[in-house]
Amino acid sequence: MNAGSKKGLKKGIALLLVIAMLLATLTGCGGDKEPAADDGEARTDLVYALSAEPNKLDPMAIAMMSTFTITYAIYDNLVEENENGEFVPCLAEKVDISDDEKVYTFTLRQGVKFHDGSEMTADDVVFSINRTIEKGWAFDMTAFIDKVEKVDDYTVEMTLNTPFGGMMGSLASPYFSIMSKNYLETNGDEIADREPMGTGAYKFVEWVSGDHISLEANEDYFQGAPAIKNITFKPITDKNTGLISLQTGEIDAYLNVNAVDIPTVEEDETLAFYSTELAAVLSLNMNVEVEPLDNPDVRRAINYALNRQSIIDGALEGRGTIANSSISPTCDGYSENVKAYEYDVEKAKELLKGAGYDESNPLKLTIKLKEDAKNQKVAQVIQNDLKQANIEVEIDVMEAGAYTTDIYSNGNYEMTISSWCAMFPDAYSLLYSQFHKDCYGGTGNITHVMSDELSGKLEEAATKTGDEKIKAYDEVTQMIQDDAYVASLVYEPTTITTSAGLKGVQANTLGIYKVKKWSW
Amino acid sequence: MGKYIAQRLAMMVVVVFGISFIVFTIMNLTPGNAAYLILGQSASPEQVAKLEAELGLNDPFFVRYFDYIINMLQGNFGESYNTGLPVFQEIFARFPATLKLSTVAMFFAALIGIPVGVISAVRQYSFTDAVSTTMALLFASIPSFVMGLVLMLVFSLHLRWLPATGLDGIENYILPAITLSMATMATLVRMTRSTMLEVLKQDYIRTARAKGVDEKTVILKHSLRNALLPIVTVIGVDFGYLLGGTVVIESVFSINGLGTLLITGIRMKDTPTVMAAIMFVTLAYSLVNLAVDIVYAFIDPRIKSQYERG
Repeated sequence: MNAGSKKGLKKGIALLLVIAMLLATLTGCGGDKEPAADDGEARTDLVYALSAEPNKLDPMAIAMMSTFTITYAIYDNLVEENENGEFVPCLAEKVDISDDEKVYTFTLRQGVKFHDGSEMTADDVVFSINRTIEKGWAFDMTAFIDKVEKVDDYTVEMTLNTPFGGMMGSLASPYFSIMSKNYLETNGDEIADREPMGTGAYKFVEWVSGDHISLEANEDYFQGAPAIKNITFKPITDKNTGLISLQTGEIDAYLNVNAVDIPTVEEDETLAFYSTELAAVLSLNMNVEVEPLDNPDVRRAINYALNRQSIIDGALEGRGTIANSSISPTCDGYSENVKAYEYDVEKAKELLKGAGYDESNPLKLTIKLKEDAKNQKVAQVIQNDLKQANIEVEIDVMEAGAYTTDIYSNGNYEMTISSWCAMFPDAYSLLYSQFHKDCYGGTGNITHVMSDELSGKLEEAATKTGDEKIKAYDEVTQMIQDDAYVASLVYEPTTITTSAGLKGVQANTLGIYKVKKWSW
Repeated sequence: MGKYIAQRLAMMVVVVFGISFIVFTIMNLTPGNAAYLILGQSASPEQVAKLEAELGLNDPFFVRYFDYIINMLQGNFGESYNTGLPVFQEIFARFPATLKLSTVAMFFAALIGIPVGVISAVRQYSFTDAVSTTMALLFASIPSFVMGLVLMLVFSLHLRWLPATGLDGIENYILPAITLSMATMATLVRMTRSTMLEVLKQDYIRTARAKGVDEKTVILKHSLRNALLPIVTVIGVDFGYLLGGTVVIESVFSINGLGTLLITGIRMKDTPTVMAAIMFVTLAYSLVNLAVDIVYAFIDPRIKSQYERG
């Protein structure tokens, strides 16, 4: 090395040292937001990260399930579900159901205040239920309601046109949040989108668009002031960032970390991991109006040819269980009695031969997908499975808008992969929109099954409760399985990862959490 | 000179209008229905039709375009189909963050890239030169989200020196700005190095040395100043890339910036938001390039006189 380049090297090192020193001084400013292990007083704040920024906070008009965690904190319902899955009184002290199961009489709790100080009365309940009906999002729940009337200031009567086994579940869902009639009429209906106000455990403080939503505890909450006093909801779209933020302690809760990171999370003592089945079934949908999928034997063959375990192992990191029916285990009406298709390639080939397909004339089908990494992996495993039965599958990945148009608007597809999520954990919410003939196309029935018998059975099952409900849905799902209207694949998990010190957390099948029950 | 600037500003207006027409056309030609995408999978056809009518999606193309332009000229950029909020407000809340991030990133890139390029040129073929050009190649090749996550892992998780997300304080800008600056830094190192090498071979440099001018002045005053033109060009062009390229960085570091707004808008076919966001970026980019052209005049007197001749 000559003298010149030695000088160059020194300059290079000097520059690096300057940068390092600069970094070191800068980290002196702006300390940690939250202390790590705090053995002093318990924390009273919570930072909850959402996977996407909400577009509005009106629970009667939201498409994104994750936003409901926020609305459940701000609003209450007439009834709510407890840890054991039972429906217990909330804003309604008592619920009387008539013998014909068509009239529900709600006796309201007295003295419950909205965040603006006004009292919740029957007018608000009638207003809210009518608003839910009018907004139309929960149309498959509100279709059963004939009318809702005020009897006196604390009594409301709701009349259904036929009994509905899922009514209590619907009433407990965010779509039936109780809002203040006065607040919405005085400030205009749109205020519910950006400045929600309810009777709930938390009051809305502010929404800085794209950055965070802040809530603070309602100290006068009728169930008792919540333990956590301040909640900040932040959007973190990248799952890797979500995991790192959990590990650094910048956030306290995040849903659905990447499956590949779950072992890391389980080993990390600063984190707690909770998992349950999602109220949805990962399925391979088939358009039964398109040849040759209109032939039930072809659909049955596809079902036999699918190695569901290999989908779990190959595409889902081993997380999930084989689906035996089109109802998820966490949904009311599910039973294990429904027989699933065994993995049997020979049987598949036999059925296909009967339909005129074999090695020399293979069946050719296309799976259309949105840009979703997980579903693409699932499709690849399926492609491989079906190849063993001489079915050649092409995978077509489309942009979201184009996909929605093809699959929902004009039904221009052969197969796709979807995971229709229930709006409340009930078989009705999973099956009706997907398989009833009135829900053809965009409303949910992308399979295009127009069976009068199946539709009739779905309508009947909707009226049942308890054991009769399970039996009725057994019949429905067995029918769906036998005619192979869909290939139900996997019950996937829904998970939540939190800081280890957070107590009261229970995995929720819809990914909606009652943060009022959490504490440090 | 003033006349030159006035001409350029007039051109800018034409460009922005042209871009608005192109974007509007593309948004209309791509498949997907805004109403359907906003309402989601469980919407009924009646709800979709109702929202379409509300948003005015059924009017003919040119009617909608001219409505938009007329509103825009009055300062009304419309409301986002997705959130219902005024678009101008949404963009103004986020544009400063993206602008600050791009500016800091460009500053880093220049602060490190140019000196390293100079050193490499002056110490051509030395160890320093080899290291810097290799590092430049490395930084240009690593995808930005990988770099971002790696930096986050090292500096946020393992060392706990810097925060991982958000833009609350000055320390929040460091990791995203470094990640964003990488590619431009690499380009600047190589560009500076190659133009400096050319300039250093010139006769007037030999003359300056022969006259006894000290090496530092030879490099900084005589060589670098002449090499600056292409370097400044790179800065101008790359600034546009930085403004647009923040999307990935914003996603990785959870920054509430314009890039995310733009991508969400495109996915949801939220035409008002996409139009306004792209026009803002176009405007910013045009202004930066105008600034670059003006800087040329101060670097190179020959160019200044060209501008004055008109």
